[in-house]
Amino acid sequence: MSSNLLFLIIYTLLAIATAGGMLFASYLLGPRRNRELKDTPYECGMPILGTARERFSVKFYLTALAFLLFDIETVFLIPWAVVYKSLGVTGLVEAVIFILILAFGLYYIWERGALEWD
Amino acid sequence: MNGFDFASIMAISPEIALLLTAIAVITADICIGKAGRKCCTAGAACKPEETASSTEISSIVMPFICMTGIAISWYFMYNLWNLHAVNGAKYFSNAIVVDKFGLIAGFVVTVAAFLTALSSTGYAKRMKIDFGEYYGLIMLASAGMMFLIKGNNLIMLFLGIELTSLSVYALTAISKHREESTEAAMKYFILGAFSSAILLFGMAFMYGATGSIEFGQMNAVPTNRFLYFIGIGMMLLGLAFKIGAVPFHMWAPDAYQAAPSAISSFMAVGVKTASFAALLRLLFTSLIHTSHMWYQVPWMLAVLTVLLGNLTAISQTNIKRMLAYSSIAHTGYILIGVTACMGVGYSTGLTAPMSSILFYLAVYALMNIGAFAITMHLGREDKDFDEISGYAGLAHKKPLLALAMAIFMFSLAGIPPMGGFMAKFYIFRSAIQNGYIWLAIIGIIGSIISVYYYLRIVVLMYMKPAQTEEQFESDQSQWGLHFTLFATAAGLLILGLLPGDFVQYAIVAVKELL
Amino acid sequence: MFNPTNCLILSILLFAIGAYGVIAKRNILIMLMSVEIMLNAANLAFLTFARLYNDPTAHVFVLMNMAVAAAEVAVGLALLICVFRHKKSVDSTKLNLLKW
Repeated sequence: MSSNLLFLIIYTLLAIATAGGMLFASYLLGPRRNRELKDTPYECGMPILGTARERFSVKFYLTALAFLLFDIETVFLIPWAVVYKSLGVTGLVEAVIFILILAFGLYYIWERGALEWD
Repeated sequence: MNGFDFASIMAISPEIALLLTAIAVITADICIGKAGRKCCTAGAACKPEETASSTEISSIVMPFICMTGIAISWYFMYNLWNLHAVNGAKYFSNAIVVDKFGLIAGFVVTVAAFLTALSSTGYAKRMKIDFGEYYGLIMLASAGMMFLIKGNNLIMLFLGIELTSLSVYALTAISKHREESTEAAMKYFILGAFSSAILLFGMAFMYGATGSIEFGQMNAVPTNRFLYFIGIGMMLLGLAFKIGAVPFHMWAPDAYQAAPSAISSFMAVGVKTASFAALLRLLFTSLIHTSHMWYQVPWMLAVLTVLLGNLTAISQTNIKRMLAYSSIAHTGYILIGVTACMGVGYSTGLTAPMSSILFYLAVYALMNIGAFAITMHLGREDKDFDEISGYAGLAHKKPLLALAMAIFMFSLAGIPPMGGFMAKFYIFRSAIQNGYIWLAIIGIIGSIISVYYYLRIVVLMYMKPAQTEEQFESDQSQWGLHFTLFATAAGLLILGLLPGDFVQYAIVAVKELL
Repeated sequence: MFNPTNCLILSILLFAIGAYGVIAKRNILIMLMSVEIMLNAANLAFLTFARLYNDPTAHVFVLMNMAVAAAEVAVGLALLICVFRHKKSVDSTKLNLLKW
């Protein structure tokens, strides 16, 4: 117990020392030229267009709702996955039926244009 | 095989048929209507005649898919009815029970769905709600009701209620360009979700007190009376909301008034039938042994519901809102029957009141669908014909329609020889037989009040002149509505004059439940 | 370690908070959230009893409830957007077209 803890402490100290050492070394050795361009998020990329804390358009609500529904359905697949060996073919067939129903849902929102936002 | 054999599949085959119909109808709408919709969204290269024809086809085809699916589910129900070995058997780890009680209630629900689909043939197009979702949600709601009726544990009860309610919330708002529709749906949703949460919390405590969620198993003596009491109270509260009993009725008038009439009648009939069937199954298979804890609830609800529903209906000027309050009053009459079930010892005198409840639900389905179908028939553009004063002089312009309306109104008021009279007669008789004479008297007082507002419409139709000339012009072929009106009116007369057969079936069914 | 009474008290408190939110608040979004809190309170009660009885049935119930709650939120938010498009508001007192 205590030896495990000791290793953990040593490991943590080593990790902190490595990371801190690297930062300190780059602080010591690195050249420092402060320009405005250096402070932009994408130094070598696109010029930024605006702030990242933007409101999302309400037209994404359909995507969000669809995500919510499909996301929560995994709640049924996880227990199935845990015991699927003991369920055998029956369990597989049932899960396939379940996923087919979900796939129909996806087909439906796709055809109805809920996934297009332009 | 754990619950996945042929017999289990057959046990829920009617529901599977309904669910597959929902999928089929939406697929049909997507596939046929695709060309039309693509044009409309693209805007520029739209050939109007092509759009019109493809949506035309899909709006004609969809109700027929629904009716076919319901017919198939009837076939499966008929099979189950004939398989005597199956009756009362439980499937899927005792989650589903197949008995004649459930089959009869399920038949009433699917008849309501069938008539809704039938009367939507021309109606949905006129109301601009002829999407695949409209029919798909009707099918999903009826499947939910069937599961609610057949459910034998709390999970199925809750899932059935939620599947039904969520579909019905969406159907209430189906004409989403109308402000009052979305508003009513929002109110209905908030109150409905609130009551579902209460119901669920009650179920949790019920489970805590009895250690089981199965209907048959919950009648062990509760280990903890406090938990049991909370559980029963909250479950009854949630279910009272779903059946629309006063004081939990406030959603009903708004929802019935603002939804399209086809949906209002489906909602009133289907949700009520399914919820009452589930309530009866819950109360009399698993809670009856503790009836000393809750026997006051049904009669209190019954008295309040009968009196308040009828008194408020008098002052309505909108016929759909009036029918909503009348449906609340009818909930009250059925609650009188529920109370009558408890007047005598368990399972000795239970058959008469419970079979009379089933009979009442069937009759109520016919008369309510008929009355709402009249408002659909006379409506123009995307409105229903819902001003009561507008019915003045209908008999002179459209005598047959006025006759049908008179039949529905007489039946709702409970005047012989209509089905409504026999239904009320059975309910009140069983109440009197089981020692609730005063409750029957309250019911009769309520019926007398109701005669005023039902017959007011008949008087308007037959004795007043029409307000304007072209008031009753309806602008397209409505054979589906004609057929619905004929079927419901004929059904009411048959059930009123020859109620024996259905009552026999109901008695057989109820005996199996107990 | 496991104290069912505390869990039940927590679930009753959550339920009361949710019920208060539905009854007292005027913002429909907050009412929806409160309903979700009530459902989760029920789930907590289920899990408490499941732990108490060592019975997996209630776990199944809770899984179902989670899916139902998600579906309910989806329908509720869709209706809310419908309402918002008409009224430009999510205030429940603005739902006043229909009365009596």
